[in-house]
Amino acid sequence: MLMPARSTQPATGLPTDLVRGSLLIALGGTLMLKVANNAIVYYIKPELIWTVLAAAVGLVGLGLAHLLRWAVLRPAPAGWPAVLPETALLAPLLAALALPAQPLDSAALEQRGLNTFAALPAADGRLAALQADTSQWTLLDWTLALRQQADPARLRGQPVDLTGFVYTADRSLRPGEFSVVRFVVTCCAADGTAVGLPVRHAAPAPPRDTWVRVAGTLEVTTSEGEPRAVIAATAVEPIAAPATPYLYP
Amino acid sequence: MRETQPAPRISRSGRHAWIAWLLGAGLLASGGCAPLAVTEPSRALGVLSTVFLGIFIEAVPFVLLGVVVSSALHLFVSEELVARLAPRQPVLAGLAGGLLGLVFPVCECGVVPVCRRLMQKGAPLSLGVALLLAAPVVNPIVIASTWVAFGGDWRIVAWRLGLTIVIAVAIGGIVALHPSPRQLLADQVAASHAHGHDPTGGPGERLRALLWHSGAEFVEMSRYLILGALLAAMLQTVVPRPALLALGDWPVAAILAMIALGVVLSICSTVDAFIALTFAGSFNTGALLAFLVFGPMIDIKSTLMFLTIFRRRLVAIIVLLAFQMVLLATLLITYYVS
Repeated sequence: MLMPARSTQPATGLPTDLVRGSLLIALGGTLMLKVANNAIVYYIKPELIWTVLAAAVGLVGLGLAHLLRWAVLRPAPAGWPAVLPETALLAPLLAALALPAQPLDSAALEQRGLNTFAALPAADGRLAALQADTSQWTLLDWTLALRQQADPARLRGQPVDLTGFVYTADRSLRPGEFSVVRFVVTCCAADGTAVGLPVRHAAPAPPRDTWVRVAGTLEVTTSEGEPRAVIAATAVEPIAAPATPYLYP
Repeated sequence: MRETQPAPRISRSGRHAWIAWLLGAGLLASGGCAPLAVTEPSRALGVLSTVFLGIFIEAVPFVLLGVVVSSALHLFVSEELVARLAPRQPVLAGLAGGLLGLVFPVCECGVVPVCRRLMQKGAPLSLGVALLLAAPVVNPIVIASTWVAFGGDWRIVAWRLGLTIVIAVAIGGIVALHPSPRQLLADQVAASHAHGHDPTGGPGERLRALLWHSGAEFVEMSRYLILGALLAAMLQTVVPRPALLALGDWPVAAILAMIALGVVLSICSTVDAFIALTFAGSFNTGALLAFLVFGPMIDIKSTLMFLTIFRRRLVAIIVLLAFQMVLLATLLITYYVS
């Protein structure tokens, strides 16, 4: 059994082992909770979820080792100046538990811009695998197809049926238009990039961040010498926010 | 030797803790002065929290792996073994450190506890610095992901590896010129003690010791990860990405922009090749390499974690040297190779 040195600290504050053990277990439990209610997909891509689960189990194990030591040995409490640095883990715990879990939305868009990228990973492979039926395409598929095509006008008139959230503040929008947007995430929320298309619809645009399903056809016009793609919508219906809000290249 | 609870650090760490908490609270309150944060603070806070948790949660498994490896080294590998295996000549030691990542495939977060443990065991400074800078790139996972991201283009992979190793070994060699390298280590590392050999007892006690040490080290490392992730998330609200991308036309500005982006985004090196690819159209090869080489070496969260190993002055020197070398190398590549 591990034997401690007799501590000479004053009997205020909390034992370090207790603090560390509790925080480690709390972090492990919080990560498991995020995986269980699927909020984890707001933060990292699905392929990495197993690493988080493994880490959560590991953290609980580490925390138990600390709590075991505290329970068995009952070391004297360390003073507050020593304990305070150990509490940094409260920050992510608070962020994860006290604030409502939310994916990247129009607020993040305003920081990053819309369609602010030059290429997307594995674009060629994805383009080759695209189905012929464009009504199955996601916003990511449409963005790739429009960018990679030498002549986007070839997609004129193709059926559109996709989902995304509403964004109304893009400066390239004309009257009667709103943007339908989704975030493309490669690794974690930090690298999320927004892709979107303008939608022309007779009815007023839904409030920003509303998730909608847009059905219609693609129009390609020329604006200042550049092709401009717009979805001429026949139907815009609000839908429930999807469990997996991001698209992955 | 009896396991002793490490003496609680007093005023210096306590001060740092207060500063960190105040800084974090201040940053959150100000929201980075971004217009959105001023007009709609709750929305900005939501984005900040999501990005912060994204960086943090993604890094946690790798930090955990790193501290477990580090604690295993601490408990089961003696200083004599390290002294026997590590080359004494600085350049060779640097090369050994640079290539060690092939054996310890950890993210840039995971390599910090491993490096710190090796320094505590008396490994040469050049080995530690080269390991720290090179291991995030010179490992099988990153090599593979770079190759996949760039569609099998071996030249990018080769440039990335080559530049990283050369720069890491060079910086390791330069800092090793210091007359007494042990002075450059942080207090807690330099004052290492000899209790790190095999705890007596069966596998049960060894496992408990390993778990306890890993937990203690994880809590310590996580402080820097948390502050780094918070700062990176803050910077993302302040630095407008479109402005950075608009600099793509001028070579020097492009390189600087990609270096800045690498620092701001603070993404794990295992997947940053895919991020680099999103800029492949607007930026030249030199700028992309600057992102791929500098980013894994130096970003906000990793630089903060370096402070657990080295003194501030050495960390600053490492950052400056890395910046200069990457800038010079990628400029040369831009003008003479592409």
